[in-house]
Amino acid sequence: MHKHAANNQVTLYLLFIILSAFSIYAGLCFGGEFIPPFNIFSPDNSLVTLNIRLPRVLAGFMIGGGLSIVGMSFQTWFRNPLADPFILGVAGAAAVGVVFGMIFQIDSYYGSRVLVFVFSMISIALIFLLSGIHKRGQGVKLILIGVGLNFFFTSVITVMHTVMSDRFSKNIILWYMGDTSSLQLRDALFMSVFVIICSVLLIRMGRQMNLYMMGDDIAESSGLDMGKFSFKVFMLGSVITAILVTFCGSIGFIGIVVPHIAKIISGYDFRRNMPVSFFIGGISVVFIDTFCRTAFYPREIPLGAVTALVGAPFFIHILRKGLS
Amino acid sequence: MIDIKNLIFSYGQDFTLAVDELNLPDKGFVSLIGPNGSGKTTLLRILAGLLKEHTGEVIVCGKNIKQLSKEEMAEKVAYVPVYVRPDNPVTVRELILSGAYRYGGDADISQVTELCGIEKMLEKSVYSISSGEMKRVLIARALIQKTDIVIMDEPFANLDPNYEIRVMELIREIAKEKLIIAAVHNVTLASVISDRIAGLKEGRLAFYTEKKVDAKILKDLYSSEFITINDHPYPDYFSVR
Repeated sequence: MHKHAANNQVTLYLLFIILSAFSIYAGLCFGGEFIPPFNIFSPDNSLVTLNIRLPRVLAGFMIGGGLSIVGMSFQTWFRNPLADPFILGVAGAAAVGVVFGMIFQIDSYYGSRVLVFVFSMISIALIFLLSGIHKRGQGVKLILIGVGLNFFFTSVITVMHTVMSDRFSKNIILWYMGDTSSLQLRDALFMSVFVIICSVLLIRMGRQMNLYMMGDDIAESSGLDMGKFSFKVFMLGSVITAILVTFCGSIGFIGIVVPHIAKIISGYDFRRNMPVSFFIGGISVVFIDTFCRTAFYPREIPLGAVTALVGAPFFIHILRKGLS
Repeated sequence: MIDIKNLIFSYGQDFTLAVDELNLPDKGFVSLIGPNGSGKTTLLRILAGLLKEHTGEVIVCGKNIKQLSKEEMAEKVAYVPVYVRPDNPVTVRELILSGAYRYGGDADISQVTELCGIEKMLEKSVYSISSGEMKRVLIARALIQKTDIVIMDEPFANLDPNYEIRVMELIREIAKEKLIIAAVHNVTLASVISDRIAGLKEGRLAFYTEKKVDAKILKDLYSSEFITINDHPYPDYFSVR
């Protein structure tokens, strides 16, 4: 029976690798203008594929994969199936960073991104100092502090809405929807390396997550240092989220839903379902993004606006029926 | 193997556990009896390293428990909680194997599961087994951890009469090699199988004895009448009818 399971594993991963390659390839071919699969790297087309489509496809994959893995880790850590990467207020803080940039006209490509990153890191540090993450049974308190911070940031932005121009309001709403269209290739690569390293570190905590899931008493008495565990999940998850928000804005839904789909497909062993959730997240975001920028060309539909549009009906269907 | 000196632990103003001195042997079965809220679970959780906000000394295998890391603690002491509910419906096998975490996560569980009579439910979801079956699973899990000390919070709770006897025999067997400390409510059972019995009342150690407890000691402890039948104490209300 174990051999059978191992074979299923190999098949599953092969399937995911093929699907990933296919989704990326499709992402490079489709868009405003269809580029035939064998011509994507020809001199005529490489400007479009490498500089415009590749950064976007890469970013999409990292958003999907990174947010899904953070979602899985946070849902486990908080013991709460509704947790998502933004539950601790990172997105709100980042949005305040964007607003800050607009007010003081630090809204160049890098200027606003640096601000967003700084603001997200400040909120992460705040959470860390306010909550006593190292203590056990802090999950609920932590979530509530996150909710509090989110409300605080949201109200800062709402106040700004009322005093600033309409253009400002539209920009901030668009930012909340997430945007990968203006990303440069080197940033997409930098972001990918970063997200992949942190994700691998989270996946390597799979065995610890398996133990943590058994409950605090079992986990602690079996040798899991809850303080260290919480700190690692918190830091890696927050940093992945911050870096994604910095480059692509805040994209909802993926981080809360994909972990559940991954569990339905691959079970409750975190050594397995975390990589699976990375692949599912990555592949589906690339497909959704590719579909939208092809179907609605030349109009740009923000990624965050459609992830839930396409994903929510599918998700509810899966929850009701299961996969098998 | 465990020595306690001047231990004080408080939950704010509500409850204080204070044990001046208690020395537990290297092996054998030590049962902890006392009314609800007398501090049994609190004491067990301190000994298991799950509560650390105490003053005084708790020495486990020659080392102060506050100086031991979680990993070191897991090598010395295993813990059987009253009940657990994992966040996800994992299998009984996975729950048992979590006991092997400290040495890599893989272990031969066949002997232990047979000992606890759970070999047929290994692939079942932990959500589908009864609370008595869960108790035996948790005991098996603690044995897989391969420690010299096992701490059990109410190992006989929720067991049917058959398994009450079987778990009792199992504990007798394990206690030949290891030190087992358990909170027990069934005083008859405790007096039959214990090598030593400690009585807790209102957070204080009322007695600690190698001898059998009798109806008088129990009356002082529980403020309720006991009678003795065939050498063993029984709660009065139970035997009169």
